Amino acid sequence: MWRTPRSTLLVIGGLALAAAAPFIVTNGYLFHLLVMSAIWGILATSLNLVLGYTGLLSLAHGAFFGMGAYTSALLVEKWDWNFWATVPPAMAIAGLAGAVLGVLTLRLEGHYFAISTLSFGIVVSLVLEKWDDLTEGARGITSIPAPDAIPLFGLGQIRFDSDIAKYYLAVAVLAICLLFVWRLVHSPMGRALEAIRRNELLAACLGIDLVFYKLMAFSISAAMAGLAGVLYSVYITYLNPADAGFWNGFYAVMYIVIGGMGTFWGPLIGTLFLVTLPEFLRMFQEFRLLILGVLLIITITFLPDGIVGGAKLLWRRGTQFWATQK
Amino acid sequence: MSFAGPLVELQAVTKVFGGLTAVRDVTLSVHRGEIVSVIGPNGSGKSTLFNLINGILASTSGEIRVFGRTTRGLGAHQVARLGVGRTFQTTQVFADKTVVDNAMVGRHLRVKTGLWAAQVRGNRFRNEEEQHRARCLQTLEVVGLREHAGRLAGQLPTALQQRVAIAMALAGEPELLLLDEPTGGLMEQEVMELMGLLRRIRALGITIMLIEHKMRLVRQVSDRIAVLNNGTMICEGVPDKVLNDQLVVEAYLGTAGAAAAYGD
Repeated sequence: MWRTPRSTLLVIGGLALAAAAPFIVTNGYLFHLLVMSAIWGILATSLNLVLGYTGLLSLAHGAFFGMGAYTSALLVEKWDWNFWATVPPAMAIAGLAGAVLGVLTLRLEGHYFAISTLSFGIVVSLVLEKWDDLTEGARGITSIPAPDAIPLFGLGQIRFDSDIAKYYLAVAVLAICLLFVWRLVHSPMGRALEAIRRNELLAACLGIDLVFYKLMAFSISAAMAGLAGVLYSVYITYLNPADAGFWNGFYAVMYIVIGGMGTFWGPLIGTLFLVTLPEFLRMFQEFRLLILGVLLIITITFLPDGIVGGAKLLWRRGTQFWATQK
Repeated sequence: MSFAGPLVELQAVTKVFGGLTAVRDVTLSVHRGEIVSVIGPNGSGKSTLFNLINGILASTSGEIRVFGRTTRGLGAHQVARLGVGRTFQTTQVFADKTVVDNAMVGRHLRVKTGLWAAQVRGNRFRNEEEQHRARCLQTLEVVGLREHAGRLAGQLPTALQQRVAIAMALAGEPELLLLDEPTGGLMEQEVMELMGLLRRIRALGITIMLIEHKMRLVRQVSDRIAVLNNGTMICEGVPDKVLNDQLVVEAYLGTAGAAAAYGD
């Protein structure tokens, strides 16, 4: 789909829109939501690899997100690391945590797996809260500096102090993550993951190593969630143990379900929709959660493939309709 | 790999589920190039036997060797990688994928490209994907699905879906194929076509084990037949001998139904 002209146009259009957004969205709060959408979009895209493509309901992604955020922020603040150097260890620690958790839990089925990942998330935020010496406990880590400027040898430097610069950084990372996931799911490994989601027994009989592929998907996804956390830490500049709690993971699940589980663009579209929606529901302030809940129920009941699935259906019906009109 | 001994060797294999002995003390060998049918009444342990051979289940006692290697401790995916393909009694395909993409999933165990190659997308990656797709199309040719390659598997009629399942198993280039009731839900004409397909598959050098209820098919394609009843193998040998065995006729067809069913 990447190679067909229509999709190429869509991608170019999307990138242009993302590049122009800071000049279109001048409202400070809306712009903030846009940056958050990019960051949550990375988290949702990472979770989609596990939940959407492989069919594993992980509730630990909030914890991986928080581990990435804390690792980077602590290395910068307590050990004076250059921000960019903290990215690999932050991703590695989140990915490794994913691998260890995966080894322990991936043999469990359905709900048991989901519940163990949920408990893991709770444990991680508890550890972050109680390990006061390292993490500053419930006080959290404050005034996290912006990413270090990148020197351009003689041509000045790229600075990341402004929110606009952080926005572009988040969008660039999101684009890289999307490209990575696209290439992964459109490869033999992607075929294996989708086969596992659809029919584990059949997949195994066709020679697909269930544990290996689940573990790979889970670790890669956890590392990517960690990366989203790193961006969060430098944008929000403040971390506390709740950032690693299960809420972030729950929200990511919701973004994916609303956007379209197992579809490529679903997580991003669901994120954009749900992160900006509350802004437009402001007049219904007290009923926000209620509206979200109803939305979730409607989606699951009538649009199991979310917004993207619904749009595809409309598109097919529409083209069929036009075909019959001619 | 060309293994000279029996492709499958079952040595006193027993499988107990709780208090139920599904397979009891079965000893059977399958040699290269054979079509061996496993027949027996419903619940006689035929599918369990297949599940034991391809590693879905572990035997309670006894020894199972595939291509001379013990399968003890191996999972289904590992036995598949030894060269064992299988289909299921209830046809299992990936309904929302195209026929050729189904075959590509079955081809997976021949694919060597890893995560990194898929990210870099060099020429080697593209060539390999192209080659695998070409092989899958050849496989579809064998099972007579070439013209349906681009259709969604779930939209095909039962008979063709059954062939998609066979194509998936064949795409991995197995040496041994386990077919669990491939005629389930087929019309008379389609059963005849399937018989032709089984012979074409055998002509490719693939050994077949077949669970079947359609006696005419069994009689015509099998080199040997093994009969299970209540988990015990009560008879084994060439079709003429087995199908005329009084014990088999009684166990399988019931004394009363025996005469009537012989017309089948």
